[in-house]
Order: sequence, then C-alpha cells, then structure tokens
Amino acid sequence: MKMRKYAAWGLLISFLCLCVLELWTSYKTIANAGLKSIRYVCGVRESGE
Amino acid sequence: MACILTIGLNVGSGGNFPPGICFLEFVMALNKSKCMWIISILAIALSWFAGERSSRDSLLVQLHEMEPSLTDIEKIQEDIYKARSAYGEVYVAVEAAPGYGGPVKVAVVVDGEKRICRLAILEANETRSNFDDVIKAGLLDVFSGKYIDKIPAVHAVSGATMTSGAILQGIDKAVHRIDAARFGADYTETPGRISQSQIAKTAVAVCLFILALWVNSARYPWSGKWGRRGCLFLSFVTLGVIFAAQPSLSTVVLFLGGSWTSGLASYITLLCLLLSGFIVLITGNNLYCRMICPFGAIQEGLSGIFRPKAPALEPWMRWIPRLLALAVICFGLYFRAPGNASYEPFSKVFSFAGSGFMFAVAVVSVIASLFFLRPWCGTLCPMRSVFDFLRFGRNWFIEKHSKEK
Repeated sequence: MKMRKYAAWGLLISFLCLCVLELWTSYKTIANAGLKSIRYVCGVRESGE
Repeated sequence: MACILTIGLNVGSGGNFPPGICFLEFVMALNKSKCMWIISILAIALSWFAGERSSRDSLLVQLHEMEPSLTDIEKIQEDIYKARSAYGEVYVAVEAAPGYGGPVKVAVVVDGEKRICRLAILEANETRSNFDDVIKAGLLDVFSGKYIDKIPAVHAVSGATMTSGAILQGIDKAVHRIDAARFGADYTETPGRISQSQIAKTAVAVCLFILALWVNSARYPWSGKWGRRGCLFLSFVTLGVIFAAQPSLSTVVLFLGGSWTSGLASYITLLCLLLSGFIVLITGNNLYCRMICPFGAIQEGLSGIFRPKAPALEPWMRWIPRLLALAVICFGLYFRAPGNASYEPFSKVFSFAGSGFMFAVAVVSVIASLFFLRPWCGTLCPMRSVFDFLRFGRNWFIEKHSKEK
C-alpha cells in the first residue's frame, strides 16, 4: 500500500516536472516574440535581390 | 466584484443591512472551496481584461515593425494602405483567415512593379509546434520577391494543414485585394465556407454525445458497463485516431478569449468542450471524462491488462492540477495565446504534434496505465479540473436557490 502511494507521488511529480518544462518553453516563445511583436517577417532586400 | 456582490446581497436582503456588513457576512459564510471558486473567477476575469488592454495594439506599430522604412501611411480601403518606403511607393494589405486557434493575420507589402517586398504574420494563435513547422518549411519565403501576377502554387505543409492553409489563404486574399485596388484587376471575395468533411466530423461528434447520454440514461436497456466501454472505443476511433480533435486547455482559452468569433478552421474541439460543459451544468455528470475522452480510453484500455487501481493521492493533491490549470488559463488569456496554453499530451498521442516534453508525458502515461487506472486523468489532467469547477458552481447555485425557496 505504501509502495503504491509512493509510486503515485512519483507519477504526479514526474508529470508536474514535464508539464512545467513544457509551459516554460511556451512562455519563452511568447516572451521572445513579445506580445506586441509580429510573429514572422520575410522579404527582399531594398536593392531588389 | 465586491461591489457587485454587496449590491446583490443588499437586494437579496431587501437592503436592510449596510453594504460592508453584508459583504463580511457573505465572506464569513464561505468555505475554502467556495473562496477558491470566487478567486478563480476573479483571476480569469482580471487576466482577460489585462490581456485585452495589452493586446489593443496599434496596427501601425506592427506595420512599422515589419518594414521600418514605411512613411506617409494612408488608408485607401478597409485593411489596405498606401505608403512610401525604401522600395518606393508600396501598397500594404492586412488579411486574416481562420486557423486552428482563431484568425491568422497576414500582412503583404507590394511595390509599384507588382513585386512582393515583404510578408509578415502579424498574429497567430496556432499550436506552437505547428506554427514552427510552417515557418521551418519556408512557406512565406516562397512568395518573397515574386510578382503578384505570377504567384507560385504552394501546397499546405503536411502535419500543419490548417495553420499553413490559413496563412496561404491570407496571402492570397491580400495579394488579390492589392491587385484590384492598385492595378484594377477583377476580384470578388468568396465567403469562407466550412467544408463538408468538417460538417460530417461535427455530426459524428454530436452523435457521440447523444449516444453517451443515452447509455448513461435509465432508458438504456443493456449493460451500462459495456455501453460505456463501447462509447469510449468509438470516441477513441473517431475523435482520437481519425479526427485527432480532443478538447484541451487550449480550447478553454480559445473559448474564453473569444477569438473563435472571427472564425475557425475546425469547430470540433470547441463543440466537444461546449457540449461537455453543457451536460455538466444541466445534469451534474462529467460525461466527457467517463465516456468520451479518447486519451482516457487508451489509458483504460491498457489498464484492462492487469486491472490496477487508480493512483492513490491525498485529497489536498487534487488542488495541484486545479491550480496549475487556473494558472495556465490566466496565462493564455493574458497573452491571448490559446495555442501555447496547453500541457496535455493529446496532440502528441493522436497527431504526433508537440514537443519532446509532451512525448515524455505520453510515454509515461501509457506505461503507467499498466500499473494505475487512468494515471493521467487521476493526477494532472486539467480537463477534469475544468469540469469539477463547472459542477461546483452548478451545485452551489442549486444549493443557494433551494435554501431561498
């Protein structure tokens, strides 16, 4: 019974760590782009090439 | 909010007590769960308004950021601008097309020789991995420097069809509108239509919910246990394997953020969320988690091998997924980024989209399903928290009204 309890704790903590890492990556994506910044730009140089 | 509560209570009590006392009485009568419920509502409302305020961004700022040499910007039609720049006189069109997480806004700059000088994605709420795939595939770069009457035929990026389709549609509309406005070409805008396959998928999702309601009702003549398993299996095949459309926290943020009002490429996940929430509010049953969730079906199917028990967690641990879900909903609403407000492995399992962390969560869930009954559902799944939240509000409302009667 105790083993099952520890296993459930381990499961929850491992899920929590992975999900927090995922959310941190998402936050970095948004923070790098900036809330008011545009997501992607491409174009030709002014010389025409 | 306090004012609203005070006014509400004052009205309810006939206005006999001073507002401060009424509010204090109300607060003192609340238990921990009710306090948390109100705090959650306040946090969600605050994030919504803060996000609305900060995203009220001027389009001109974005256009300048896209092409710093733009000057003398003059609006000539709705979403079409004339300006001077390092390329000479240019025309800028800003168009939006429905993507997976709401409208994808695209800007195109065309010079006097009909050449596309600049392209930019001004706004996109798509799933991060899908958006990255589209950018990595160089979808926009293909158009850069091309003449608008010789636009190359470009196909949607495999694995990110809705996101790339929305970008292509936005570019197509923008280019044609500039061609019509500046160079006199004929262009009639065709209204966006929902495809027949989307209508069929939506009908299947509705049928699944009707079936689940029937199986759950007293009128169902056969074994409810096998009926529930049948529902889970059908949902796994349709919503999971074929449609890869499972509601998640992203869908909750998408709904609360309101970007769906501008059109979506697919409404299935939103529909599933709304039907599930509606059933919780009407019947008090979380039918979705028990009978429809495709990821729950996988876990339950695997748990059938050794017939293990659900993870034994302390009652206070139930607050971990609830608080995490609340934090992520507030985060998603503040940044108006439904695509980034998710930490469920659903998309990784059914459409192989998502990060390595989500792959790890999916693998751990699948392996743990052999030793625990529904390990993800029993530990960190946020959808259960969302439906618990709705059910709590419903029961509180009913309790209050029955006392008043």
